[in-house]
Amino acid sequence: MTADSVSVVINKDNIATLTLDRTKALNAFDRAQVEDFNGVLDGLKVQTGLRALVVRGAGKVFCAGADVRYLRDMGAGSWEQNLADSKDYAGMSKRMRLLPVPVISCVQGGAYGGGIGVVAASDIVISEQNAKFAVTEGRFGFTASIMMPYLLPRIGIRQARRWCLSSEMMSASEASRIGLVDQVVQEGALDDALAMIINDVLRNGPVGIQQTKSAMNYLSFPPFNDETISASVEAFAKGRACTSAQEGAASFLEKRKPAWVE
Amino acid sequence: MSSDVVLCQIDDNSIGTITINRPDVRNAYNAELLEALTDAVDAFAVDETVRIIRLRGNGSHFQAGADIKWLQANASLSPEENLSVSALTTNTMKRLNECVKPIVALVQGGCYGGGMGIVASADIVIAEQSAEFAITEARWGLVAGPILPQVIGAIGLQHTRRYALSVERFSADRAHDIGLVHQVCEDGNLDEAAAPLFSLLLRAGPDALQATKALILDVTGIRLSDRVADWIVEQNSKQRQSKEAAEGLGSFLDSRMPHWYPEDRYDG
Amino acid sequence: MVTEPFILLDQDARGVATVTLNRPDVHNAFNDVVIAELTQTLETVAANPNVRVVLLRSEGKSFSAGADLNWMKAAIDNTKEENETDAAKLAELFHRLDTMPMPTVARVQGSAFAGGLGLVVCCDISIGVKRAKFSVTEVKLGLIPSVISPYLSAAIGPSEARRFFHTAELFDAEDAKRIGILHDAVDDKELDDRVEAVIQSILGNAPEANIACKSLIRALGSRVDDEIRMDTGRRIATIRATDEAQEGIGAFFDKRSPNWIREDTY
Repeated sequence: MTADSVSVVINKDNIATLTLDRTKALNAFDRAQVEDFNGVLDGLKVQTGLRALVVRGAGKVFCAGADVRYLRDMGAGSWEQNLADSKDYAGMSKRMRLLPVPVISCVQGGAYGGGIGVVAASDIVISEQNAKFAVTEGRFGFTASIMMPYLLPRIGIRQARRWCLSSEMMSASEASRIGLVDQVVQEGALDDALAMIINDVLRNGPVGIQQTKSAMNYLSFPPFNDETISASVEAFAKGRACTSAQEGAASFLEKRKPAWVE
Repeated sequence: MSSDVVLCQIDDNSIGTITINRPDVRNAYNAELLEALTDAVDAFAVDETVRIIRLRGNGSHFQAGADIKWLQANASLSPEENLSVSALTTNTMKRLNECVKPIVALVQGGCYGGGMGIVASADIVIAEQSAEFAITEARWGLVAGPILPQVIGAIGLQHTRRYALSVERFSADRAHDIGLVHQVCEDGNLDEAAAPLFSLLLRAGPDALQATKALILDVTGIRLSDRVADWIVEQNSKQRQSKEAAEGLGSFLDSRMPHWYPEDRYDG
Repeated sequence: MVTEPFILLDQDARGVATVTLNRPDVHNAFNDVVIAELTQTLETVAANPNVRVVLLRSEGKSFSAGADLNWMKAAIDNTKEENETDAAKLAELFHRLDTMPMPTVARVQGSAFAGGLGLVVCCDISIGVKRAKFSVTEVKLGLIPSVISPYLSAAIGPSEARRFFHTAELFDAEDAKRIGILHDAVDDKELDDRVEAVIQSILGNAPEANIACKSLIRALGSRVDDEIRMDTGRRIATIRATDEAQEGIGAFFDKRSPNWIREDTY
């Protein structure tokens, strides 16, 4: 099954692999890609016998976040449309969390901005050792928000403050040190590492797995609930509409420095 | 006060030692052991001659999970009785975790399933280099609810998520990296490694230690509420009565792979 | 004789406000005056829309040794209410620092003990030196790390809190980085460059975005509320009044072991 920017295949062991495939945009999310992603996840939710979902990005980079034009356009439009679209965007990570099988992301090259969101919402993350990670939103004047309900339980408030407010680039080993990534492997070794994890997962009872994931969601802090997600959705929508975001998008597209940089 | 399966002893330094004592079955727990463990902790909590609690397991392994015979017996319990079993495990972890006095756990060998919960409920953990850890429940079609709050408190949500879903085994060094273990020592050296730690703890005001522990439990929110305990107990109990759990147990007893593992992956 | 002010404030054209704790002779320990002045300075900075980053630093060898000894000695005769008031003011300082709307950076040029650790972990990004030492010393005196506990345990997590609060052990910068007190630990000669690099990174982000992001992180990720803060003040006030704490503090000033340590102990 293929939507335009997201493809999915399911193998004989009932392992689904979703591939972000918009390499000309470094797999950045635009409106269509969000819809495609959500569509695939909705299909997988009712896929009988599914045992795991693997998420990958085609090309050099796992996912460079969200398309700047898309963010700008949503921010510049009506508040209602902005908010509705923000909910859809947040729907991706929510679906990953609610899928009753382990979600395993395999990262090469880099995960930036919204790409960190996909990583954070995954159950297990394997990364090549030369991959880089950065919460880049602030550089463009946007507020890192949708990832927050998932980033906080992963790396904790102390690391969230450091990496979100500075938008510094971190190495795979630093990402592993702070818990953003679960396992780091040599370049080219993602498939072998993935195979081992899949084998482990297949040995575990599917219902036991589903219940475990459900228990983790129940015990989450911040709570994994509508209130938390709504707060992140609203911050995201506001963040896209504000002056900084519009200036950030404009300066990026016009290939100049934003107003807040000397 | 001690039964055979849990031994208790208090020394001249006001250290109360609780020793899990079923070495022939790798200290596997059943109802008797869980009750004895809770009784021991509760007794030391109010004993004025005890300032610090040392928790260890006899034999080669600290605590390797649930007793198989007990699991078999539990399979024929009524739903109400099953709830009680889940409640017993959940409550044991809670009483350990919230004991008013600091607990130092000394860990050797295998520490699986319930053993993880016990270790995560201690305040300070020293482990031998060759100690090994795993959240094993899902491998048998069970759900690890009763230990999850304490394990999450010790290693955080994400590491718990990863290790509970994969059931990977991890080493003492890895356990140290992620916060389950505070110090790794050479095999056979637990007591020597723990001695400076007990020295430090004995320099602290006894009441101050208790007040500090209470402070941490409260500001970090790791006390187990009744609401959460009830949810965990019900989920755990229901899953234990499921077909999947029966298949998990059956596969263990028959020394075969469970039906949910693809046949074409079996080794030769 | 004119004494230097305890707190210095400086601001540059980029919008970086530098707040300096200036009591090097006592390892930047704080008393009620320091607390009041630091809180006031931070309030002034917080309200300044031109400030984009706050750098918290101190003069001299140590970052901050926590509570001033003379102040502690004077507090021996405090009533419970006076202790509670003191604690509330310290809690207010940490709250003010923790909730600064713009990003904050701590330059940890030396050791930080007890309350001094609170200053480190209430900043967003803390860069320290490899030779710095740290300790949560309170239980040795029969006290508890009450006011700093919500911030410190949020930073290092329950497991490390259970270890370091109970043992009161001295630990190094490597451990401090491992458990989350420091984000980076560098050689002395690299400290200013690293701090500057972090500040530059923060300045690369839109001010509005950073303010909104920091606010969201706190809204979703913080467990600290008014009730908890008030409660930590009550707890320290209660314990200070106990015989054990009186013995602990007395022993400290008498330079002897408190009576709960047996001579032939472990």
